[in-house]
Amino acid sequence: MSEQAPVARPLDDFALAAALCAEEAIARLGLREAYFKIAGLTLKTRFAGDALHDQISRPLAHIRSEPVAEPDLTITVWDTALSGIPLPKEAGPAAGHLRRGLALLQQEGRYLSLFEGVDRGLSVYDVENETAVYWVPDATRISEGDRATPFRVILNWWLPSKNCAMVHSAGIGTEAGGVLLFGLSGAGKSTTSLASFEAGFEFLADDLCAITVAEDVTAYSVYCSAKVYEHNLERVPNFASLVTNPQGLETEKAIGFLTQWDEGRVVRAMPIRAAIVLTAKEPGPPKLNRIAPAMALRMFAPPSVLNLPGPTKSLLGILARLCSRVPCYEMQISTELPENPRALRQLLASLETRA
Amino acid sequence: MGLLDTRFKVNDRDVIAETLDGEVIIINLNSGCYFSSDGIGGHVWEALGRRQSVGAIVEQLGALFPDSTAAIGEDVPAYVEQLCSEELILEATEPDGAQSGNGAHGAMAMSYARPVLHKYTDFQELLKLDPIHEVHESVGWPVANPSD
Repeated sequence: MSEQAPVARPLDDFALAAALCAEEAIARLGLREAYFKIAGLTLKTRFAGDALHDQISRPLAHIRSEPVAEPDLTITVWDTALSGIPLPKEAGPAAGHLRRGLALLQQEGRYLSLFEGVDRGLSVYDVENETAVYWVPDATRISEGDRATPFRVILNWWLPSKNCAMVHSAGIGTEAGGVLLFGLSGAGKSTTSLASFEAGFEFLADDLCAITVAEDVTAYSVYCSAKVYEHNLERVPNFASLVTNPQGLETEKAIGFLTQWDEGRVVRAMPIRAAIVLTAKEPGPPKLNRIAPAMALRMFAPPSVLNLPGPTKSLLGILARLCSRVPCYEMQISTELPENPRALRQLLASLETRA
Repeated sequence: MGLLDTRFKVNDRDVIAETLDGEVIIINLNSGCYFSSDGIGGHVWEALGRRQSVGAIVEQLGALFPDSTAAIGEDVPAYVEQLCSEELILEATEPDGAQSGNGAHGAMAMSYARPVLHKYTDFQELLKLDPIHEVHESVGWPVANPSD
């Protein structure tokens, strides 16, 4: 009987090589660990050095937790600029593709890998062991997305295995519960969230949060950051004073951390009473119209499913259950920003009364 | 084998779909296009997912809507061809062991209406990949090729 050739798994080799690079960087710069809690699950992060930790972990500061012996997910993080350790040069059959600096999503065996380009970063997730490696070229010059929402790709791959999902929505609330605000980039999720925070609401997220849908819907905060276009800064003056990247506003959104504004109102979780898609901005009063669950799913799902790359089969199911569990609305927001939290507060109060 | 004898399956590699209140939402992760179809269209999608042949689906709908058999005979194959051309379904070689029943359900419209696949392309931009630059031949990532 002829001997069968072993199945080549280039991504296995690459994932292992990337993990070894990360360990080499840690050996050079020292290990800095930090733990975070999302939806009751513990995320352990292992950084190559303190500086990298300080650069990347800031948006997660509000969900920091105590160390545990058996975390649910472990991410090892390194960068090349601080450590001097580049990514592995060989990447199997994808090497030619990657040499050209093209973004590439790969799924092979137990690994998922997203290379976002040489100036951005790499995420490699080991589904079996629930470990990941995250690399950026230069932690002092990371992209707007990585500064505000680090590890989002890895979390998007990992959370569905825990019956949880990352959704492309803002989350804000009052003592009566919370709402999720869906909508395309530029629809007003961030400005509505910030105007609501200004009006005394609690803040969970301005763009990405995690949700679980059982009998009740619960949303969980992952990032305490918010991002708005520069032209909107004058409309949210309290946030404008928090902006951390004033020098970069010609090419990226303004990023700030709401824990610096009012840490007590940046919450880790809230029960969700309604899901709302922001559809238009008009000068008049805001308008809220109840929509059917199927229509809501059609409006909510594509931005969430297509926002982050990778397998998202279970996400659509979670969103369908969300649309069935809570009332869904489309909202025409007012260009007079303070009007929007007023309408949302009234909606939450009315839903509480009905419940 | 003609279309009526053909069974199909959802293109699981590239497509996710969920049916809610009789309306199916279908997302092609490869192209970034998404689709919706309700009424008869949602019913046909569900039946295809159970690996029923196109002919069997036409026959069942004909029995449910006897005044519309001619239209059903034209509309359903055309709808299936559209699903194929959008790469949402693939030909299946074997029937699914899980198939059962005729798939007719209470939520279906009381009168026949041509199945329509609504296509939305507003998220295709999200999937566009982004060439950055050549990297340094000997050093590798993330060092850019000086000639780039």
